[in-house]
Amino acid sequence: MSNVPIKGVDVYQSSSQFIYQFLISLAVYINPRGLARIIRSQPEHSATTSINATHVSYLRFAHHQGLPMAGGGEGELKLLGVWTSPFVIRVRVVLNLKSLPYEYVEENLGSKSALLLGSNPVHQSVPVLLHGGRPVNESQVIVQYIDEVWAGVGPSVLPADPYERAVARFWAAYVDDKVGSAWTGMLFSCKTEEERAEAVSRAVAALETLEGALAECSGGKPFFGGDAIGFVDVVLGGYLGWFGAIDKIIGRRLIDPARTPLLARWEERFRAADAAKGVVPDDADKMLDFLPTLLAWIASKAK
Amino acid sequence: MAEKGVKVFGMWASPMVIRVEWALRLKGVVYEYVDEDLASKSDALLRRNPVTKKVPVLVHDGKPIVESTIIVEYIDEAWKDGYPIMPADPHDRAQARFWARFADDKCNAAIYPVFTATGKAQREVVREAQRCLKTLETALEGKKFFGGDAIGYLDVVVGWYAYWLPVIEEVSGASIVTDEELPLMKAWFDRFLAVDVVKDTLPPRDKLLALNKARRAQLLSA
Repeated sequence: MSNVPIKGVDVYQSSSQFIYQFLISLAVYINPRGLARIIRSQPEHSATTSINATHVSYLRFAHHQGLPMAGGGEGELKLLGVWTSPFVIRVRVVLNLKSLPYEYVEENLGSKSALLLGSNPVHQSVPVLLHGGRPVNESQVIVQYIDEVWAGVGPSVLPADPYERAVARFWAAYVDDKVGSAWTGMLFSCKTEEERAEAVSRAVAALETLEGALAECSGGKPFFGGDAIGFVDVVLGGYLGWFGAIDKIIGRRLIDPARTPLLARWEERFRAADAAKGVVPDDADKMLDFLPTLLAWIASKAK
Repeated sequence: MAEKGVKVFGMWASPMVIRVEWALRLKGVVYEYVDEDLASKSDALLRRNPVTKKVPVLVHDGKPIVESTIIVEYIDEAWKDGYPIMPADPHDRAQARFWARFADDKCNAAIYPVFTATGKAQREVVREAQRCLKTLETALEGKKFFGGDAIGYLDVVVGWYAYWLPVIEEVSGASIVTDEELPLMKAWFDRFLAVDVVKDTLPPRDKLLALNKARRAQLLSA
């Protein structure tokens, strides 16, 4: 069963799938170890993500051999990610909001692909959006890029009014600064339960401020963006999967309906939205099972 | 009575504030400047920015905008018929925003330790700062300014290096941006400081030097 269904697009139709599979066999023949490494390393092992991983492998192989590149042409969208990443999830929600077809590639950050390293040499991190082969990096930058390039397509993520845009950008920056640093503290950098508890209280304090922000920004409407999901919604929404997992670790809810009732209702609405389906994780156990892999990736990066 | 006009809450020695002034001046916007004592912030500032309580704050017709890079984008959008600050092409805009984040997150974090480091430790932190700036420098290749032939968003965001880094170097005795290590950046420093809007807005160097000498002495004795 797949936890990361590819929304919107069957990347390969039947006849091209045959050609593709033939070329995969060729790739396996030429570079079997490389291909095996990619398949073995996929944490979320849906059939489609494996195909996408091998597709990436094929593209590298094809590029070297000067073969025609299926699916990597002008204007096509590809997103490199890790399924648990709040920064990746927010980009996927936006792509879904605009009903934009894209190819999703699950990355193994313990053994980074040449495509990732080549596309984001500065940070070597996900998400990376490739548009017609050109990379865009940094999740908030990517979201704004998508919103600007596909301005006429589907709903807008940022408001039209300059002042409202500045307010949205402010709260988005606040989320990644305060909630983001607490999130790192709660999961990755804490060495003791005391340190985790300290990070939890920082998260809760930030969420209480955001409760006020939601009241102000929404004006009684369902989302920070008003009637529809907007910039602050997707930025904060990316963390919801992990909040569910952290709730299990600490035995209480970070978004506590008693302390932050507006946010608690907002969370339900966000999770229920079509754009969030399949990309905002709802299986806390699965996320907790994946945590050791993430910690190992971080440890190997530190060396 | 509706509040009209443009006001900037700032602090004369703050690089984050000067970005806002450069952006307003590029657009030819007349503004009132309110200098804050950061040790004793005014009620007006705290009322306008209760969340982070920091400068700069731009108040436009009574509405407060906070965070320097957000303010710069706001200025570009609110006075959209004036000087173009953001690049026109979305991919170029994404690049500019990416590098602005890199500079503020990574380069600034690498530069601050140089201020108080001494001896061998200073050599280490200088090397780290140079590494970061060399990465940023790649965005200058083949261009007069980060924005191309004329200054743009990224120049406004990182332009403070051109004036403040030499001050930090003088105060700490370190040598960061040199012709050998960062030739493109050094040449861009000179071009950037020659731009009218920039050079007309800089704080007096002797005052800045004195302030930073005092702050360094205070930090080192703590």
